[in-house]
Amino acid sequence: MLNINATKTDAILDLVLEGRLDTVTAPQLQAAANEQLAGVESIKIDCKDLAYISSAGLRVLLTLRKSIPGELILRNVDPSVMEVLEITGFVDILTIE
Amino acid sequence: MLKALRSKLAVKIIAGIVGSLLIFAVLSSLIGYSAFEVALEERYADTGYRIGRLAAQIVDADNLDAYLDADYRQTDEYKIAMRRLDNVTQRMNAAFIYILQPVDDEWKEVRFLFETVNDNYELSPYLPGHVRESASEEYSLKYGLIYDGKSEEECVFRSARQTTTGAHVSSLVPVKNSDGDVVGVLCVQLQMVELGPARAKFLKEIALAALVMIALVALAYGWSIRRTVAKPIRRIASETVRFSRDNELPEVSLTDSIKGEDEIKLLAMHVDKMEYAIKNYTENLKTVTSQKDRMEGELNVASGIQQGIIPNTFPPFPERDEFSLYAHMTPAKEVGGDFYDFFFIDDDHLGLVIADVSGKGAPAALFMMATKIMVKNRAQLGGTPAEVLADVNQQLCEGNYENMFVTAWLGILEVSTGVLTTANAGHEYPAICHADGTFEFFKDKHGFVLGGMSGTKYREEVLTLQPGDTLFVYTDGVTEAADRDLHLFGTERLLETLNVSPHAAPEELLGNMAASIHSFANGMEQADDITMLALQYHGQVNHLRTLRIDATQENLTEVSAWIEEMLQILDIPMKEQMQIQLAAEEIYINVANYAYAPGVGPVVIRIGYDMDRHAVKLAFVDQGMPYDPLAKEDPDTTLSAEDREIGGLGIFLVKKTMDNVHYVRSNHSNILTFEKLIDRTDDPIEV
Repeated sequence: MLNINATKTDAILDLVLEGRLDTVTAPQLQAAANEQLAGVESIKIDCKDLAYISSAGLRVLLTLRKSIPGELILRNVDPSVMEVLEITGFVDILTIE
Repeated sequence: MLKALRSKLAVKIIAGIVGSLLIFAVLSSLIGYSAFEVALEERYADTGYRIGRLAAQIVDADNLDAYLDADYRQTDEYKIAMRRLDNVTQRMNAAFIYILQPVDDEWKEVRFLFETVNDNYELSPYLPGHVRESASEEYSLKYGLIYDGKSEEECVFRSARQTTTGAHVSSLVPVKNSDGDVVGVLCVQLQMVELGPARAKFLKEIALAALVMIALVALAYGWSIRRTVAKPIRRIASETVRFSRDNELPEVSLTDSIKGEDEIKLLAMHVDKMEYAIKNYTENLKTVTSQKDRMEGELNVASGIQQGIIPNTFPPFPERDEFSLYAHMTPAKEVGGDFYDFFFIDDDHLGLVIADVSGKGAPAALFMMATKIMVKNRAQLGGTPAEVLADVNQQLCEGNYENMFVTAWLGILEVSTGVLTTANAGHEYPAICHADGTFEFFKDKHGFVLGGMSGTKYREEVLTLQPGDTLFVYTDGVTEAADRDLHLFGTERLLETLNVSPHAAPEELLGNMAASIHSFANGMEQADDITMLALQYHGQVNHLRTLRIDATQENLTEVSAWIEEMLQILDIPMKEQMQIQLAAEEIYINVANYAYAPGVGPVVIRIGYDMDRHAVKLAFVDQGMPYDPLAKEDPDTTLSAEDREIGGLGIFLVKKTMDNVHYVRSNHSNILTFEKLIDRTDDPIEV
């Protein structure tokens, strides 16, 4: 289960995620982001209520990162999600705040 | 070939005969001709003598010297005598008649007293008193013999070659006066006019007779050889050809069909005897062969029964995942006495047996059956391996008149703890591989072979198998497999082979071993049964739940919820819960995406908890295509966003966050297991 709240301000896309980013929900994030992606330079994702991420979620994050010229910023990352990002080296290609 | 030989033989024999007959004919012709010539000559000589004696009557022997007087020759007396002598010459067809007297004692020169000449010769006679040389020494000698009174008649033959006047005979007789004294030698020369034609006729007749005789003899011989040699030999030859084709005795034996008592008959008798012996031998061979075929057939059935009673369904206990077990026996051509066995004694104790009966064939197979049944039955009654082997030994010793024996290894595994109790009755050392090591022999203490000696005691060894440990037991068919130079496979090569892939699943381990033996033997026929058994211990799993579900992405939510529920029941800390959830999702999605693609199939998920080690255990079992996700190379996590690949992260996360991640392909299933060790001291609540 994943709730996605997307707001676009100028060239910045703000996403607030709540729930699990897994194989089932990852395509939802991809779809929601794709709708707003035109003209976006950087993406900010609020992970305060994101309890879980699997490799499918990581793939979406990587795809999003590659489709914008600017940064992909994750905020308020949960420790268990953070561990996944660290193991996979995603901490180096995303910006964690 | 045979025809050429035959004609060659006949030609040789007949040519030899004709040749010798020709030589014989020529020789006998020469002898005959010589006798004929002598007879003819004697006849001429005899005629000459008679003419000579007649002529000697005509001349006046008392007054012979008067012939030299020319005046006397004018007398009527002389003329009458001459006319009568001439008459005799002409009538008797003599060539010359003349009287000689010696000029000297040696008769080197002779004096003619008179001579008459046949009218057929246009020669004038020598006048009386004519002196000439003797024609030859023979003449001189014989003139002397007559003149000296030593002989009454002599003759000299002159062949056509010796004289110019043609072949002739000169018959010499004495001319005696009234006192009986020899006063001259009277010679009558007869031309041997009959000699030439008679000789030609004689030779013609002789040659004709010889040719006719030779032809007759050759024909008779040819017929005789054909009848007595060629035909019987041909008969024998055709009989041997017939026999080698039909391999049946003839209706009429050669002995009966060949007459005579010669060497050919002897040959025929021996050929008959030989055929009879071959026929007998063939019949015996047929009988023996069919008996052997039947026995082989029965042994094959025995071998089938023997293999049938050995458990050969794998995995043998699909409901048990504390261990993997695989065993295999490759029987030698001849039925042997190897066997393996495994069975549950109770819910927690697994009996493992490997054994090798002495000898081969039906006795070994029978003894093996008895041993297998006894060991299993006795073990299932309870008791330690040493007790079981001691009792079985006792039973086998009873009535073991054939002194058969069995080497056997018996292990009883307590499945929940991994404690393995073993006893060894003269069998090969087991090999054991610990999870973090390589295969080594477990040198347990051997007792005496089963059936060897009544009252034998067996010692026990106890060891504990840790999860991941593998046990390998085998018979001497493995270590004593030979190559073409009769080198043995040996225990070192056995360990080397096991250690090529020491942590492989039992089935793979046995496959590797069989391949290694096969390549070592290099075509050498397998002399003994090759029997192996391997058990890999996975450890005790307290099964909480099993979920069986179609592996689809859509079902992930249900799977995640189920695992979450299980983990909450186990009271697993949140951090580990998340990690396990993540690992489970990655493995599950992997199965859903690849195992049955493009179709859909089931996956069985088991979750359990090892209370001793505080480990959550998960197993994912699918029957999809063989696929080891762990074999894939880990992604490079240091690359920049642009260079990063999208795939491979899931399994990498599982490896990084879980413990003892393990994949095995067994029984047409992919089995992926992992544990998560939980760092805590309190046990979860019992369920």
